[in-house]
Amino acid sequence: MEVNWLHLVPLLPLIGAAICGLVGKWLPKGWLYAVALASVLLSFCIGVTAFSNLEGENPQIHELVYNWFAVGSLHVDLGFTLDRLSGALVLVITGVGFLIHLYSVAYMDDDPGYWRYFAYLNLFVAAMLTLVLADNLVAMFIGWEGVGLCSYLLIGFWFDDDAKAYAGRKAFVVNRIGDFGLMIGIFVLFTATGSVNFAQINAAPLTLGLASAAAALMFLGACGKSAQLPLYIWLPDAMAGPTPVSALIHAATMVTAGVYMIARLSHVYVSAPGVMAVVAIVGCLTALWGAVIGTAQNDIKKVLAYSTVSQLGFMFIGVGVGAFFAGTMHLVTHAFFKACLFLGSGAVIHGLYGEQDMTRMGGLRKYMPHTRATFAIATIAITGVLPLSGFFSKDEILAQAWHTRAFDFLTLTPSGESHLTWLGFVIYAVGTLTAGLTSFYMWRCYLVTFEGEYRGGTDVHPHESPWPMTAPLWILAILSVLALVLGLPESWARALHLESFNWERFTDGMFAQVRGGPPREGSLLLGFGIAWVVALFGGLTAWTLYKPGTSMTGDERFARAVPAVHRAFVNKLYVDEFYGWLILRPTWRFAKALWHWVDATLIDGLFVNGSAQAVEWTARSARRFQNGNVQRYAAVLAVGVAALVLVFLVRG
Amino acid sequence: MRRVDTPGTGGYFPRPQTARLKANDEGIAMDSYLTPYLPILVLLLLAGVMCVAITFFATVLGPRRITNIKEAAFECGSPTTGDPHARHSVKFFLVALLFIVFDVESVFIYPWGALLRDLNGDGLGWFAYFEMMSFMATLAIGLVYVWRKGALEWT
Amino acid sequence: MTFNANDLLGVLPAIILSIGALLLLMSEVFLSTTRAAAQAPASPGERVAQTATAPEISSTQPDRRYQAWLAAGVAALGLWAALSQLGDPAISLFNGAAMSDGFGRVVAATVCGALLISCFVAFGYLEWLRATRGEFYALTLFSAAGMCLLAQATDLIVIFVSLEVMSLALYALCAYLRRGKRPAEAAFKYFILGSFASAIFLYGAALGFGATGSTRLADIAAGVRLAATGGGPGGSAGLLFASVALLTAGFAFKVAAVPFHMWVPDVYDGAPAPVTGFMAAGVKAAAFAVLVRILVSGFGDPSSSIGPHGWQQIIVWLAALTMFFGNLLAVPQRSVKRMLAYSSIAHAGYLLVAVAAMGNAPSRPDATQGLLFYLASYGATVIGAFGVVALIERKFALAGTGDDLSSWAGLSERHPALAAAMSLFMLSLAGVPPTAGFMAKLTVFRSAIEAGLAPLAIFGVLTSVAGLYYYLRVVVYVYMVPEGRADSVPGGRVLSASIALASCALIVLWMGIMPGSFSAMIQSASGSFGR
Repeated sequence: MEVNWLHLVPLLPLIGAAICGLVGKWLPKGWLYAVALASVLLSFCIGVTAFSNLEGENPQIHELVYNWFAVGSLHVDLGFTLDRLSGALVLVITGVGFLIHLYSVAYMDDDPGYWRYFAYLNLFVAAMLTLVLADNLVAMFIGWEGVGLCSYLLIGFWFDDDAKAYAGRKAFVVNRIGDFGLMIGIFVLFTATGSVNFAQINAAPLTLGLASAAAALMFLGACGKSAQLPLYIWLPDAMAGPTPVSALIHAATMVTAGVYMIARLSHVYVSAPGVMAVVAIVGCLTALWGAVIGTAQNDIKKVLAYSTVSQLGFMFIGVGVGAFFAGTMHLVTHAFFKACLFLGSGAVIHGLYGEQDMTRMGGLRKYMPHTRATFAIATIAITGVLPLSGFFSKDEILAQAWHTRAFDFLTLTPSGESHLTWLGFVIYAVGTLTAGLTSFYMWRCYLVTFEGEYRGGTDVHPHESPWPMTAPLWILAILSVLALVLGLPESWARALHLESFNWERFTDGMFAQVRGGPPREGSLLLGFGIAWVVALFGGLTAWTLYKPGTSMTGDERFARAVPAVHRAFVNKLYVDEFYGWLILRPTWRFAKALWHWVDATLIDGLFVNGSAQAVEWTARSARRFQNGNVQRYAAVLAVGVAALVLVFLVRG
Repeated sequence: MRRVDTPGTGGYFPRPQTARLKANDEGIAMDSYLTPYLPILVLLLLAGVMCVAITFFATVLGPRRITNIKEAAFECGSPTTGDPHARHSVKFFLVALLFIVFDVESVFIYPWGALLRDLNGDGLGWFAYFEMMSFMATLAIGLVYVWRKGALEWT
Repeated sequence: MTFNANDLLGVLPAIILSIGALLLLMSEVFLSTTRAAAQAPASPGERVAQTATAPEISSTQPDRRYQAWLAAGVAALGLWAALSQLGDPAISLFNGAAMSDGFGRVVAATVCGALLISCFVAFGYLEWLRATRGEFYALTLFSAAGMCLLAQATDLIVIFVSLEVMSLALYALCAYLRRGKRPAEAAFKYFILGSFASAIFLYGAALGFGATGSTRLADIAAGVRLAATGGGPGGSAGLLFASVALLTAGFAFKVAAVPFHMWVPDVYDGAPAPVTGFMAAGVKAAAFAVLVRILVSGFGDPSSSIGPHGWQQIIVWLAALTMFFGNLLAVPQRSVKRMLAYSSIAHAGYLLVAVAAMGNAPSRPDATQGLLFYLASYGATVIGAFGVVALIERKFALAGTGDDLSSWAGLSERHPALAAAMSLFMLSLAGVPPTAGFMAKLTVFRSAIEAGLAPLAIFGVLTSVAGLYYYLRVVVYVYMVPEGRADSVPGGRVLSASIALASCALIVLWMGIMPGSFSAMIQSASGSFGR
């Protein structure tokens, strides 16, 4: 269906950003908030209207905004497509985005730069909507860069603090590495298919080599944006930004862009089964890696940051094993409960006047009942306790990984045998272990923060947050429960007459099928059982170590039992140090060597051997420099001419 | 040859065909168009070799006894005083520059005057006339400008 | 040989600009009304300017403000002339000595547009320095006339004359602020090295004439074809090789390609900021236009080894070197003007990529289009950037002494619009969407890939990412570093500069967001070039 109003969805927040950014400083606060919130809310309403208009088999609403440019054979139109995947994401972005805007009204009220903040936040929503709605790679890339820019601006929002400004730069630089891959991948896809339009790319036949090259390069971009190994290091540092930003950008929306892109280009990825395996393995390792580091962090936001890294790993497992619907479903449910968790941590930090260290929290259930209740619900959701959304979406990914045939195709011998059938199971096993760890660190976080006795200073009086902050918390908590309807197994959904909400059915026909064929049938209850037991085990371990009364002794016991491991966990597995050793140390050594050389020859040779001589020499050389400048320029010019003529003649 | 332009070639000058034709007539293996200039090259080379050789042998063979007196600048037998580089007034350069401008103008006008009749025969008379007039007018405007700016006054 | 009066219409922009320049010279000496405002007490800005750096002080100065508007009017007229002929069919003028085609007209339009905006930038700057004199605008008009002619010339002698008209005026403009070492040094260096480059060009032209017996590019092209088939005078192939090498070197100097770039930082730094902006935009456009004309129209015969296959590789290497060193040397610069100078070198490299892409006949139309788009977008961006620099110089009374990055710290606090404009120009220079610079790089690199020069394109993308560092550093200073220096007095009238900057910003955004209409215009105008 061709419409002419879809561009309003990203345009409204953009207008909001323009108003906030250009005249926000002089607007009354109330007006500014009204503009910022209304633009996102209106955009949400349009999204709902559009979404409810989607009917029929794989429906989509499309708008051709204008012929953007045509260079030779490259035609790029700025067009927006809203189908069921992008539509759902639009609702998540604007919906969660609106809640976070509302939350920010209370959270950022005291900050003198609030107008800047809301301008950036609105701009981010606009860029993210462009990314999601774009019907071609180039427009998506613009959104991709736009969200990166906003992320940079918001991480370094408090740029007076050098560490925070540095964190912003780190995020920017690391993301540039990924964006390179993405850009070159776009070039490759354009060269291979002659188009940058998603529909045309997905329809074009691709050779294995080209598909693999493009898929691998673009996965590099996804690794940067979605914080996968080895480019995840920026995300924990990105917690330097205001907490609502962490919730919106670094948990719910922007970091999932990589998953979204792979799902969008599912046809390219299934044409490159080797890259699919890489995606799944990287996702699997990242999930484990993030969860392991998360177990020993004491900064509440760092725990959630590593948890995000880990959960993103799960999503990549989903798309990597060809279960694109499972990966995107986890994207949606994760947006709800992780946003809830981050906002909850923000409420805690706000209530404790900026305290982020969990060792100085505890017993907050008394002071912050709403925050505690919503945090608990979201924790249940993320740890995968049976009826909540996180359970179904995560278990769907793991089940798909276990039974996938995506890798069968990879090593299919002519006789029809395959040697890689075990890879899916290994991923499943590691994923399940990670799920156990997730349960452990999230319950640890919950128990240490909210249960037991308050361990903070006496001068701090913890208090519950105002309603603009608690209301979004409750809405998100309820959503993380309700989102379970997306992932109900089909038989259950039929029994409850909820099958129209089933995500797998909902997105049916949107994604490519892996070449190995649909996954093998597996036992539903066995998978559920294992997942449940694992989650329970993780939770119980956390309970025994950190149950109320024992306060932080869990960490001490852990440290006593395996000190080296604990130290490694606390130090984030020494990744930053590793990069330092790999890159910074040699540079530093080189600089030092250079300094020595300069020191030895220049300083000793010049100044120690007589300053008079040095002065004379300097003066003489300075004079010669002054005189010789033009001549030297001319000499270089002449040499250049000579070289040019020589090369021409030799070639001729 | 009175015409500046040869019909057909479209260039300002005729192609240098005479040299080639002569070379071919004489039956010499003239594969290069530069060959007629070979003697000049030989001359240049000889001159260069001579210069280098004479200087070289002079320095190697001749006795050298350097004294202060020999090194001093010679100026009519009396010691030098002051800076040998005299500074000229900037006006001097200005006038010199203007002189060259109008000198070049006249250099252009002479051949134009000599050729105007021929050009008229080719139907280009008025074109050539107005072309030169606009050239002179431009320079005249320049002169007026310079005059009014006071560049022609020495003091 | 015949003369057709219509030929004059073909070079209308250049004629308009020359007549305008002569008018300005006459008005300078005959009309000199004394300004009433000059007798009033000087504004604080003027006092600072006088005591600190103002090179021209005179209490009773004639009111010459009309000259800026006269010059702007002439530039607008020239722009109109170039644009009104845009769609006309290409015609050969003056028996093949010049050419009026879409390619030349687009370049002429770019030059006139650059001149128009530069007049606005220069107006406030010169008024602030009390340095408004007719020579300034007359010289800019003369050099613009040279540029327009250069873009249309198809005869080596005409090219040389236009080149000198352009260059001599620019040498003088560099030294326009006479009281100061840096402008004089800049002009001197530019003059010496420029004459050197002109000599090299002349040598190349002489060799070309020696080989083909003509200075017309069409005849040279015929000579190239003849030499390729083994015909023509013996040894002419060697002469042609040397000729194209020297001609390339001569213009590589004008476009500031490495290793012919050494004059650029000193000259850009020393010249007044409005002049630098005009120089960067106009000289680049004209010099690239004529370089392309020589290479494509003169030596572009694809069947010949002297042709594209000979020079393409050279241009590829020049482009790679220029992109590499331009970006590399810009990194340590702390003066924004010097940084922009090195950035101009780097951009010459990207433009050379388009020239290299023209080596392959099939990709020629795309590459031409990319080149023209790049020239226009770079022109708008760089004039805007130097316009901001000029305003900053006024703000801190720094005329002619360059500017350190620290002067830019905290600009967004006091002048948010200026800060936003500068950031936009920096992003455009860096090639970040949705600015003109991005589209320009995209079209150029794409044409290079189409011409089979993918490694060069990838190298270009890599260097442009390195460029991001120093461009964004300005943005960081503007927005994120707290104000280090106390604002001195704001530099007086800024309305005309604001108009100029706003129009630059609009053009940059327009070309970045809706390049379709612009590139369609270029495409229809230049479609036939080089075929």
